[in-house]
Amino acid sequence: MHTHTLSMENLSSDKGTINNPADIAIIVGYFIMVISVGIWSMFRTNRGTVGGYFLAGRTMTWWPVGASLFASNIGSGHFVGLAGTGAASGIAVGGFEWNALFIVLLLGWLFVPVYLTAGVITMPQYLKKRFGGTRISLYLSVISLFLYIFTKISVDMFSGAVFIQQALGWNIYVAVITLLLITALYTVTGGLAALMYTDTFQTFVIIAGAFVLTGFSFVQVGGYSALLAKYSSATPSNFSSMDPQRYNISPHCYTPRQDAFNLLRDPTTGDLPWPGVIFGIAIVGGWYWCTDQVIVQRCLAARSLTHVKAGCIMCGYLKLLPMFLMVFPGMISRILYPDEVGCVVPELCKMVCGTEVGCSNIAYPKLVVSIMPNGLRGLMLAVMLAALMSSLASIFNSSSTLFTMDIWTRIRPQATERELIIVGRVWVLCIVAISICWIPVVQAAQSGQLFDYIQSVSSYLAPPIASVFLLAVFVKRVNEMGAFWGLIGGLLMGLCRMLPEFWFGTGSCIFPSNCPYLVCGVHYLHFGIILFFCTSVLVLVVSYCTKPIEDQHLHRLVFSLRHSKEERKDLDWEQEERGRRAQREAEERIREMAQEEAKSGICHLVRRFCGGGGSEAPEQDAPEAPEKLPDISEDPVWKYTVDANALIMMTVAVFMWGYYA
Amino acid sequence: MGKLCAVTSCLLLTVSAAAAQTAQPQIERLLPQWLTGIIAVSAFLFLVFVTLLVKKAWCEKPSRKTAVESESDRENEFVVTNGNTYETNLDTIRRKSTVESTGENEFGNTYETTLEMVRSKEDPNAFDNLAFGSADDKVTSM
Repeated sequence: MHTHTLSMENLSSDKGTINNPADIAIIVGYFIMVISVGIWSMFRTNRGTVGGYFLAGRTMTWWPVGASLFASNIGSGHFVGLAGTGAASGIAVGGFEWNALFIVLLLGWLFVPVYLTAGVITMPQYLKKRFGGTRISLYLSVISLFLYIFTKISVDMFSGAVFIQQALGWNIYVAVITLLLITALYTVTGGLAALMYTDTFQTFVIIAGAFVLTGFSFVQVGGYSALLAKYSSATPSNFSSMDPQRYNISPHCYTPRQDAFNLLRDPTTGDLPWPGVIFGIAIVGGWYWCTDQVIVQRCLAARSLTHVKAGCIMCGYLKLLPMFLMVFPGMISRILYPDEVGCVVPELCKMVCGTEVGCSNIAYPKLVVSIMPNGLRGLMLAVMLAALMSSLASIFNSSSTLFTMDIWTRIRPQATERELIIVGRVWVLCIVAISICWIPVVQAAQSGQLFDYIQSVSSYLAPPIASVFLLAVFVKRVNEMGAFWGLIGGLLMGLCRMLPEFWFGTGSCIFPSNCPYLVCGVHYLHFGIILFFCTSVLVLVVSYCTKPIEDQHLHRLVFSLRHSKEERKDLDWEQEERGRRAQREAEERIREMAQEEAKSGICHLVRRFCGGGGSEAPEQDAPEAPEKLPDISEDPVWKYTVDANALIMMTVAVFMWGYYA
Repeated sequence: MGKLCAVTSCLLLTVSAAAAQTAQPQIERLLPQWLTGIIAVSAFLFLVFVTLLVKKAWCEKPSRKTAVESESDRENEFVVTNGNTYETNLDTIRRKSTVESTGENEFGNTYETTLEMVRSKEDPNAFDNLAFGSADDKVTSM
């Protein structure tokens, strides 16, 4: 601990602190822009209704959709994690990003049409309509919230903390709490519309800043060919063990990998084997992009299906960039600073970055601190803040949607719209508090390879969900029993691998973990593939052994019936009916009470700020029940344009994969 | 002999150890990178082309089958109606054939059965006997 603070002070006195007017002006300017975009979007949509608050009134065009998809996905975890893993093991980690190019097209073409015609707001709601019963949707809500806290929020905050500590030397709690409060402010007030417009602005900031840094780093290292040539010799100068009785350092722990510039690596000896990269990442990507509330909610807020598809294509093109903007600079960082970023001796590493395992996580912050001139360092800090805040804000908003629409409506079915919106906002504050409490846990668990940690946890818990959703959308025969037991079976299998691995620890190159081969021998991506297939088999077997769901319950809930115009008898209509009746009674009572009370000035102001208009809103959206079916018809001209564009994008993606394979 | 073996094996060991210690360059590629990219793109476009063909064949076959079925249904109706009634009235034949010919022109497999066809050229009130028109007389050689 003592050496850690010492190194921090040294760093801050060197060049870390942002204390010159140029940097400060840029940061202040950034915050002003973000808050003003948030306030502007507050007046554009009606946030008084559930549809307006959680789905931006379904009025978004393609460019906020695409930019918001990208900004919600790219968090500070990507900057720190992609660059760090790139520094440690080469470009294969970019495969995670480039695989998403294809998965995002699956989202726009196959999944969103079904979600749109189903008329749902959250993913557990879709499963409830598709299968009936309440246990599947409850399970999905709980596990999604769990995954958000443990993979997305904690990782993004940890990366933000690493960056802030390395680049600024601020007290981590002060910095993180301020960030979270600013994020919570515009999330709580603006709803999804504010988020999507601020995400568009933040996408520009992220890409512009990252381009600037990439330019500087390539200039510093001497160009792309210099990167190719110098990376293989980027070894640290200290590689002999300081305590030979305890451990020995073998050369392969500090020498850069031979296949560092290959995307597709050996299936048995590679750290990211190619079947895993192609299929395993596709499965985890299928969960992340096609079934997860954060991403799907942005697509559901679009104006029409064509806008969704165009937004997905835009997001795909943007996803080409992280390889060049984050992975390559990470590798350049290792070339320029091999003794810090590539340190291998545990005692030295602890002095440099506070962890014994390795310091590859500081690859990106080190570049920002060392090679960016004044003013631009402030821009890079704005970039990191943009990435951090956009991701966190999206996760907060989506988790509050999940909690409000799935868990709260089960506890209190008679909740009015106004109450739901208030609960949504309060939940955001709760989750901010939980995230702040989680910081010390993440700090203590500082693992060497951050990105690997997220991906492995996702690989153990996400494949069953992806499999159930895929089968739910495409196979009519799948019913509630099959889906439920498939989910539970998949969860148990995933936990069988995840808990022992966490118990034994992931270990490092010098101190490998003593996890038995039976449990930890299979690579986590391969395990994800196996888990996906086992869950699918289980779902299908149980479904075929129990009675099917009739077509009359499935209109517009499966891909083959997405265009059907027939009346659907909802499987959960009893619940909905009860809820609607209770809601109507509650609203009657409120209206009677509201006519009596006098509106004081302050109450009126607060209500306007929070977007309430409690008495008007229910009348506007009272016929929520027989609402018009969202239209998924497309203008043929635009359909062909969008399809052609998707083909072009896939061609570009295939070329990049072939080039770097 | 034994010493020579020992020396050569020691030499080989040190050489291989030295080779392992030096930083190896990246894995040798068989083809230049841009070429693998182009090959991947061509394979992908070929697959897309095949998929489009399959989709076209799949979607056209059922629609073409249903069109043929509906036409043959209609033909069957006419055939049935024609087969079950025996025309003894020349007027009905004339009228029906004109209706048929105007309605089913695109087929070309309806037969004009108006009397105008069999009216002989020499005499306006005489009609040709079509049975004698054929020219293939079988003549047996004596």
